[in-house]
Amino acid sequence: MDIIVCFKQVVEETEIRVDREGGRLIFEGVPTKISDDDKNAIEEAVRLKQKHGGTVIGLTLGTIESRKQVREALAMGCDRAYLILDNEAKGHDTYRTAKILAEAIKKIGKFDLILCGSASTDNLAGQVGPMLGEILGIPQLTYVKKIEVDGGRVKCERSLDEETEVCEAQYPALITVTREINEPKVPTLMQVMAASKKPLVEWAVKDILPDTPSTVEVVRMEIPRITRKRIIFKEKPAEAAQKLVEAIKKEGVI
Amino acid sequence: MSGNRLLLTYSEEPTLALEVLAAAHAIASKASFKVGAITIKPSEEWVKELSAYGADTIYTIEDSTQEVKSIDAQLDAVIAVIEQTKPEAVLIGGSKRGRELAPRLAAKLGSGCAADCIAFDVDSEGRILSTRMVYGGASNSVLAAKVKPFICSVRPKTFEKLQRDDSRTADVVSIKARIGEPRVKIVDIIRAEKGAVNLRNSPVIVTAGRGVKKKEDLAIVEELAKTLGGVLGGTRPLVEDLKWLPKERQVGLSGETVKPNLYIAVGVSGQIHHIVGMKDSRVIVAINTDEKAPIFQVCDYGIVGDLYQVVPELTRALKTLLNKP
Repeated sequence: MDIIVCFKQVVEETEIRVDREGGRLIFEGVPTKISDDDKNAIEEAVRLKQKHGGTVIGLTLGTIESRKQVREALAMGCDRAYLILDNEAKGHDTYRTAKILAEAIKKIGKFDLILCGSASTDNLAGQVGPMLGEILGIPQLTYVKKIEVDGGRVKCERSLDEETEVCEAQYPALITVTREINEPKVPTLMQVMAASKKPLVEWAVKDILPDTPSTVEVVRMEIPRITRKRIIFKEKPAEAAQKLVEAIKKEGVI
Repeated sequence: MSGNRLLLTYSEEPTLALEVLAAAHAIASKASFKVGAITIKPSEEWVKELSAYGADTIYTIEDSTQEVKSIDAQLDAVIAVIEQTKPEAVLIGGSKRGRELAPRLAAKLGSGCAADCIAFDVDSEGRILSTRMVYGGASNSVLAAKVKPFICSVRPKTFEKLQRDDSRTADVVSIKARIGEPRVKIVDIIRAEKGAVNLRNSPVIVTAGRGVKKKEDLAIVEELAKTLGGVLGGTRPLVEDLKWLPKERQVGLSGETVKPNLYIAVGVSGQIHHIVGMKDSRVIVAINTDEKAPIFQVCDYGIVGDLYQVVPELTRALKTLLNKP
């Protein structure tokens, strides 16, 4: 079973600070990581390989800085990886990303499954996976929390809003996974060392798809305004609790 | 042109279909648009509903033999209507199925796409603008399509359905669609067991965060919630990482969005992801040891202190006030 797993380098969204007065986000010193769901996708690809044999190929569109995440993906168990270098920061343009990934996949060649995370933790659009499946013209199963492979077919459980859908399709197919599917293992030191010897191929985006279409434009970014009373009690617990009770009673909410 | 511009709406889920109609009207209130609703094999009653809740034209797909829940089938149906009506934008209900359908439509048409939209506007050039949250809700991004139709999925529970108006009469147009055999076969659909709690209907929510050190200690926080006649909620680390609480109790961007009268965050640092899910509560209270925790920036009242001391004192004071044992 040959699997291509797509992942994205993102900023650690929990460490982004908001400068509310200045109306901007502060990214200085915020570390980067493999997007959460994408890690589950890599883990699942590796588990499927352990069960059914084959290879796991990592694929990402990023910058030179993404090499760190590519090495991490290799340490997690990808056999080799492709990094498409793209210096234009167009993460919002999911169609462009999907088109580039689709071309790269055609260049990589044969596969049985493509695994992706269901949505990146920075943009949260969840569009690249479905678009990629559509562009490649293969069956797709999204928001998957369980995968079984059996004789040319995949059977999946999809985690939908208020129901679980059990569905199946013939592969080659594309599957996007949720965080419920597994618990990604932290690579051992041995795995990290072995990763540096695994093949990493770098391509320039212009060699993959010279004229990349752009279908949306960011008109502006806005920092949502939150205005609250911000009355803080710093007294001893009993006293502070008493003051708080009086305040919320006055508000008429208890 | 401008008088006849069309907005199409679609969701396979009835509640969401009406919310998406309301979203389309948010655009139509800014510029002249007709609002169309796509529906697959509808009942007569459902056609009346769509009309009463804002559809000017209803496009029905009658010749589908396929299961409506199949996204492959939905895709063929919606594409057929788009090809015959040439809309400016297509708004899709942002259920998980809709979140797959919308980008697939956009990829098929090569047009612009925006996911999980929370607001719409029309700019001075007549372009439709959609607003969506990025970076876990820290920022909003306002997008416009370079290639039309603009395909947008609409975040559920964000737009309130319009007032019912039975005097409205929509045109009904039957569209022929060639719906192929779905490549993804639905074998079974299991309804999730409804959890005992419903955070969204509770007037008081007390949420526990990482400040709570052990799972057993959640009892202290729940005692406070119960005293107030409220329910216990949890942050993403407690639900997704530690799994101390079930998913239905999670407040935040990837959990529930709540607006209770009183929201108390206990040992919650106030990551943006969390704030997005509770910022519209009427009164927000925070209890945290760290004076610099971001939660204090977005609260009405706060106590700087150890939750293990403050929460029991608070429960005691409330019990006295509310005359509870």
